[in-house]
Amino acid sequence: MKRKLIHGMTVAMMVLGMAATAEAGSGANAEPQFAAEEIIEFSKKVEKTVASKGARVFILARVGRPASELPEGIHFTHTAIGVYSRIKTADGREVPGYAIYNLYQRDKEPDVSDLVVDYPIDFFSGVYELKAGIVIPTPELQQRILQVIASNRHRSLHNSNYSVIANPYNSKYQNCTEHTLDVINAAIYQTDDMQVIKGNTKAYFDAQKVHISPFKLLAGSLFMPDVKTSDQKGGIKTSTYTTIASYLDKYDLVQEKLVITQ
Amino acid sequence: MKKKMAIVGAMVIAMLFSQQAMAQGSAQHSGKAVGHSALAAGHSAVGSAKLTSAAVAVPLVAVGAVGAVSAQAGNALLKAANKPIGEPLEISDEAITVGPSPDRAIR
Repeated sequence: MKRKLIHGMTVAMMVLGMAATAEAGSGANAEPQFAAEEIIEFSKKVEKTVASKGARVFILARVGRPASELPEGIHFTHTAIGVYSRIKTADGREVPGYAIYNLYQRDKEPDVSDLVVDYPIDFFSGVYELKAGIVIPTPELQQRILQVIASNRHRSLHNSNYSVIANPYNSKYQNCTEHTLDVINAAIYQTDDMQVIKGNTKAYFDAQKVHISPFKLLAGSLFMPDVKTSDQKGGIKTSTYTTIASYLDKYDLVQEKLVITQ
Repeated sequence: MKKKMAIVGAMVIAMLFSQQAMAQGSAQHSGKAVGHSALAAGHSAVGSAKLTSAAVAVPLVAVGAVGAVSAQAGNALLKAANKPIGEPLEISDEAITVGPSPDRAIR
């Protein structure tokens, strides 16, 4: 009887662990918070705002969870790069718009990521709040990021080993924000050499300290495959949309920063 | 036996804590695709909105640069590619999304 009880509790723990993993992301299966028309209208507002400013490239962030659930200093939950593109439609036409270059976790293997191109409507379709963080880099930096992406060099910067709290100062794991930062630094320093990119990241980029109790961190790293701590030393540090914006601002590489809401 | 039960109980509590903690911690970089959940579900229209599936997107790069637009691109797109960065750009009014996933496309 007691054995059965222990077995039952162990199974319950495993199920809870899987549930925790599934919930950790912004929720591929989350209930949509907004009607499709609202998402489309908001996405078009974002696109038209950045297009009116002539942005060929911009850094884009979304909010996938309530602000009350986000750790101190974290305001956005996913970051990617928007690129002005000619979009070939399934029916063979070409239309102008922005494509979004993302690093996404896999649904069924959350500790593995893929590079995925989608569009603003896809990007915002499961958000908790219709709010976009936007950094438009200076024209020179836009041009350089554009060259990295147009020549597909951003793909060589991808590390599919995913950790939600990846340390941006080394290459052991990578998340969406770190990939964005690596693409930016590859463009700034005009190199694909990850040692050079990480060396300059260490020298000039201030990561976000994540305040989390060691007990919770241990529990998370034991039960959630996308939470890794072996790349960290002396506290958890990771890159965020806000720290990328501050980094670019500090070195005069920002044309404009915006927050667009519904 | 009681000790074992206590250990398992503590682990369950730790697990419950970790769900909350990691939901918060991971939320910074919650990078799962959401595109297939709400809109790109294989429908050509959602409510009154008509969706357009995209086959591919090519960055618009000025002529002469790596990855520059080809001669096949329309005149308007060629002009846009060669505008100086900062000049307002045209955006399609169409609601563009990724195409449906294979399992939905085959239905």
